[in-house]
Amino acid sequence: MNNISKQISRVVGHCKLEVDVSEGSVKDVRFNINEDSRFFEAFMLGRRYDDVPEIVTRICGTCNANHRITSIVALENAMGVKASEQTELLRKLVINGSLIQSHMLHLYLLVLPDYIGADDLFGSGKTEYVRRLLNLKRCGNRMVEVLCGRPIQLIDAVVGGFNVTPSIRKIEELLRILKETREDAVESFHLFSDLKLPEIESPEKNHISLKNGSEYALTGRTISLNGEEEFEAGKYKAKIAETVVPYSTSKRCRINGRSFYVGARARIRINRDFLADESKSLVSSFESALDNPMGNIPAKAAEVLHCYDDSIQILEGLASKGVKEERPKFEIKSGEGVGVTESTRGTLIHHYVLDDKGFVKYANIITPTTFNCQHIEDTLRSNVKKFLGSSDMVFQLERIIRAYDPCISCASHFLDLTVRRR
Amino acid sequence: MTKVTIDGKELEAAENSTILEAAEKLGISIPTLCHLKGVSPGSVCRICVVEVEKVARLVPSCSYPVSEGMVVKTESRRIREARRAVLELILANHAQKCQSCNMKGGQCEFMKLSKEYWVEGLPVCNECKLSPQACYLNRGVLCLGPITQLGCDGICITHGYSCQGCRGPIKHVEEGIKIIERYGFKVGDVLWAARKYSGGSRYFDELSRSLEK
Repeated sequence: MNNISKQISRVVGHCKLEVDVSEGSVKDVRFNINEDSRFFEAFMLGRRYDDVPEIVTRICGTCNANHRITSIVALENAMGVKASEQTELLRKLVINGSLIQSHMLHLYLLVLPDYIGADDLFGSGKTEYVRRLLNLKRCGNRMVEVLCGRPIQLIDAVVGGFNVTPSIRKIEELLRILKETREDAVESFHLFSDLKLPEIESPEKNHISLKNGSEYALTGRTISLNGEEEFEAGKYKAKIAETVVPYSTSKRCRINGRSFYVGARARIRINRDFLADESKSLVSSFESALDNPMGNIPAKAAEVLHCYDDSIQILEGLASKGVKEERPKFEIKSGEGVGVTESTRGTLIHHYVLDDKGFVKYANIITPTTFNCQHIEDTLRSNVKKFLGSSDMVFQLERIIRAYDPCISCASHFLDLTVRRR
Repeated sequence: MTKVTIDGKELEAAENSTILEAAEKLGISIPTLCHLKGVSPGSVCRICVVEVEKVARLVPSCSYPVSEGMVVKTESRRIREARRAVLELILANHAQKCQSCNMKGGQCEFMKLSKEYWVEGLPVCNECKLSPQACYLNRGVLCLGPITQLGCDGICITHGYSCQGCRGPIKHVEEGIKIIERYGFKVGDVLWAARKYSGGSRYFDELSRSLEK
């Protein structure tokens, strides 16, 4: 018996990979999320609706903007609030900013060291990369900060709109920063699309992403499976089955009994036609890698460039039209609402039931990493044989996990098999 | 001239000059409150205390004269704790004066020092940029400013959101709650709001238990 058990480094949170090998063949592979239970869904119960966006931003420091916007969309759906067009645009900008900073953080700090033979980027002596990363990260953070008051744990975005709308001066500042650093995004794309990615076969080809038929969908109500089949976001429960496994605090999700993936790769496969022009033309340079889980890396880099172009376009529109002062106005109603957005790591679902005073009666959050978990495990299971016996086996497997960018702290759930009823 | 060493840096200080003056020449800043240049030192506030080798107690640098071969330390854990104790003592006699004080907006030396030395007694109200008329509590909106530790620069309030207490409760929560109660809110309201971030703090934990009984 030869067991390999490795705590994975350079991922967000704590996870562990366990491989059981017996007599030269692989008996079991377990992708083990051993982050502590978070209880978020539980302690939102009984809180009022306006506390929810605030609580969910604390789920994760990296993609808190996505959590906040998603919960707001879900609550608006529950109470039947219609956000104005300007609010939709501003929200899209917030998500774009969040994608830029988070993608770049992942690609440069967590992924790149694998390919330049270093333990970490700062120790590698590649000051050019560090400078570029900081420029891009600063830009993404600044976008969120200008629109929402703080780069993390946002304030301004609330149910119904924004508490404070950005001034024209601020919008122009963002435009300037985006145009200044766009070149860095282009260079980053070339850096990551030129990486020599290992060929990894994945047995499961299913993927989901939002789709709305008119734009590169980051928010919306329709989820597309493989770009072929579509289903209503509100009916995710009928489609996506959540199960628990004893060795991990994260749930596992399957569609029709098969695992699936979410993230930049799924988004580009489904919404490719709606990418900004330059990113669209660049996709062909890594097209073959889109079948490969490692293709998530160039896909992310291309998406960042899309976010740049998309944001510049939205901001120019706002700058010429002007930003209206809008105060969120709505009535508190009982209802059930599901909000779905595309966050950094993939499709993010928030689901709330409110009573007539606006208190939360039910909360369910499914994070992209929860979707990805089973897919990661399946991919590893089918690939582990290939690396068995080689000296850098652990490195190769870790590299696959990192390509998915699992954000583990937000995927953790409380696991109690005796209480949970399905 | 007298040779002294302050924080490892050597200096020829003028005779009869104080440690504070010598440190100033070296570009080392020592916080002061009661000290006023040109007026004879009172050594009352004790915020400027420093450590001198071979002297057991901490000495006030504003009045303690330098002597040949003196070795001085201006930053240490012991000094930090002494300074914080001094600030807390002043605050005990000064609590909640900030709301009526005009020195808002980061001009107050005492507030600056309290932040620097992590004094747990000043609520967010001290940083709040709103005028008393615009105060959320005055407008009938529950704001946890009076019971919440400052340090955020009152950013939520600037962004049209009342304080939700995310930085945790101050040391004297009871005093703050009394202020909120004056605006017509009940302890239960405060507890409900404060539970979001500070449910685990000792005060609110005990309060919830006692109210549940």
